[in-house]
Amino acid sequence: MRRVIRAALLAIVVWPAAAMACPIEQPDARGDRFAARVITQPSTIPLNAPFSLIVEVCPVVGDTAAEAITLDATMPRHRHGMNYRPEVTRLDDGRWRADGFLFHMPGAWRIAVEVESHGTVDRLTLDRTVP
Amino acid sequence: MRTLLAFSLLLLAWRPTLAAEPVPLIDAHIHYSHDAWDLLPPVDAVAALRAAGLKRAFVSSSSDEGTQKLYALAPDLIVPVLRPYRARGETSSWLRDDTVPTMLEALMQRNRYAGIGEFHVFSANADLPVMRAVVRLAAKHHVFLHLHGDAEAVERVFAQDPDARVLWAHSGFDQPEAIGALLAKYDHLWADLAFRSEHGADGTVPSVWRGLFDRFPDRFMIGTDTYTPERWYYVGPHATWTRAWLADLPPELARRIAYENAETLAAWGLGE
Amino acid sequence: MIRLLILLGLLWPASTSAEVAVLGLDDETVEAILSHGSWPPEPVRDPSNRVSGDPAAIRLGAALFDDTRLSTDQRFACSSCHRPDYGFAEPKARSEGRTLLTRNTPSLWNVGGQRWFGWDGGNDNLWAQSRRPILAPDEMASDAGHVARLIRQDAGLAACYRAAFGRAAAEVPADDVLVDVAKALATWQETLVSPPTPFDRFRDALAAGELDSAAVYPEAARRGAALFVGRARCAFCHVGPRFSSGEFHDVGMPYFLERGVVDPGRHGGLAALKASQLTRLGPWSDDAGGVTGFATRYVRPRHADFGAFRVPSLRGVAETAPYMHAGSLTTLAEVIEHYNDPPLDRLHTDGERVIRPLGLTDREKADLLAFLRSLSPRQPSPPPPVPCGGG
Repeated sequence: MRRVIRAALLAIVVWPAAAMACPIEQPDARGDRFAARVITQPSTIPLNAPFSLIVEVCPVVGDTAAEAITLDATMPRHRHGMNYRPEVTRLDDGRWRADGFLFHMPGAWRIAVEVESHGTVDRLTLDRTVP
Repeated sequence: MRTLLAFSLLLLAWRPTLAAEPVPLIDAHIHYSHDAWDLLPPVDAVAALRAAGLKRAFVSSSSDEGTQKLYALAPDLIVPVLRPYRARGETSSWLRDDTVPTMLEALMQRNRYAGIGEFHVFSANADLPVMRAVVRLAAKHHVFLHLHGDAEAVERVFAQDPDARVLWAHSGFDQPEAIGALLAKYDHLWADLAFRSEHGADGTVPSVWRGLFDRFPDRFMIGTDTYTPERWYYVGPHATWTRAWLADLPPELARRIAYENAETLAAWGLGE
Repeated sequence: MIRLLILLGLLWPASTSAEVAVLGLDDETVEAILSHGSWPPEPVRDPSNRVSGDPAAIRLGAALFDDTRLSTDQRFACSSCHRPDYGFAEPKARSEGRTLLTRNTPSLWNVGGQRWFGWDGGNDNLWAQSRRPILAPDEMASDAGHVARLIRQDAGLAACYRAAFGRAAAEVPADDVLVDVAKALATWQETLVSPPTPFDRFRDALAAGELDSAAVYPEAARRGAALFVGRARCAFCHVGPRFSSGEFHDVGMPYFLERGVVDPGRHGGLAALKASQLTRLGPWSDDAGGVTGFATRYVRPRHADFGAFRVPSLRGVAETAPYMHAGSLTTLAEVIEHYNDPPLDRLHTDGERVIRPLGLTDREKADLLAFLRSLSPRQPSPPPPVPCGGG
């Protein structure tokens, strides 16, 4: 939570005029109010090894900037999540970086991007399969 | 910048401390099933609940004999809830067992209960005859339903009886926004937080959950879920963990989730 | 799938899916089987242990592993329970120290490079894990002073210590000597890499498209391998070349130790980790900045941790009976039966649905057993002990 708060504060203090128009043409995930492009590092998600996410978020309607985001992942079919809790930080270029991802099982995973703004949360999801 | 950040974090981290005495809790999700009775005799079970600082515990068991053993020993502590299972492992078969309503009726004539549950029912199965009979029984005996299932099952139960009282086990393992939507729709729906931790990981309540608790301060309660005998020894650690994240909430809201909401529901079910 | 196509297209120009099908394996199964190799892995040094891979430290660790003088009353060495002639495990359900201990002795084969150590993952590095039984009152019951005196007063050990750490033990505080000893023990254990197995030869032959060689692998084991990565759902947890994710699961095994006492498993392990100074992020680690501290930095406590235990590797599994965290299953056949007909009522309804009844036939159970037996080298032989000077 403290990590999210810190990210939120950074967003407010450092990024007061975040990009308002959505520059993402082909988002990986789309919610009611925000869209996101999600890049994994490394580009292929490894099985049972750490990886990171770089997330770009923009509003699909209006000009509300994301104040904070949280990232997590689950295996919906198995009804469990990750055994590690990612930390999110804001990058200087306005994108978000999440470290601490690890998919310990092969199969279908769902990454959730929760975008907070003005006291509400927009939940975006994208599915990835790890062979 | 760094100073500003640190100061802001200090402000955010500050909160009035609760009293030194551990916050009393009502654990709304305890089972005392047949395979627990030998290695965890009733006296040990009651001691475990008291050691965790529980004010009361909603206990349902497979079979109900487990609940009765504890209730006989500690009627001040145990809130009896009638589970429609004769043995553990009947989570899916019970809905096809026509003898279940008769068994429940007989037990309800004989014993005192605050609710029927925890039972497992998902989606359209909530309209099966056995489930319909259970909803009718709950209305007849003025008790709540402790339902482990999805939002659709909850909706189907309320469609059968709009006046039903439902305690939604594990808040359906649903997302906060979905939980909020269902709580907004049904005034007589409560939600336990058993076996989920995203609302209080590392002792802090994320803003999305804080918002949910603020919006529905009278509807949430806590629970451990002792689904195996060994997990009775998790009631204490779970209570400690619970108190940590409750301390991140305003005291009045924390008290409601800790025990007041459960106490209100128990009093309604028991006719207190 | 892409990897398989590359394999078929580039590395396997002379083979087709139809030919592989002759072995009774479809493309998906082959791809899954290939994910369990190659073996052995490239040696990787542990950045948290500055003597990892150092030959002098390996010599010191090898000598100490078998040295009962590490325990105050000279009753126990590491090898007393981690028996080299028994896959560095022992043929007892629960280990016996000064009292009956709570868990089965895990094998040390391939212990280097794990993410977590012990059945409960109470340590995130091998040197901290190696220090634990030295101090445990019901195991070696030693202390830093006793261990430091042993190293300082035994000429051979003192020489080995100086060679490994570049300083005399006499000039080092006892607590530091103890951690150094643990790091030497870890360094030696990192050399315990099990040899390739019949399965590895099969897997490598498949990867190389050498179907004739692959066909040498017994048909029953081939069928068992297909079950393992497929319908039996074993490979969800027993992943990769190590056949383990290294993570923690409640697979429905009881964990009462006696009336009123349970083994909290991973829940207790995380509590120990949180209290430990000897993590990859702690002051005793040689990994400046905690670069390798991913697991400890990000680990997430879960209610499901209570009664969960680490997924063991299956390499050499046929040599390390009995099985499960408390050795409660005597044979591999019993383990297969456990997963074939799991105690569903012990598993949380909204918990992992990976474990569910398999409905295996007797032949399928025998096939799985044949596969599991093929994960052992034909002649498992520990490295020869290397003396560390005179005693």
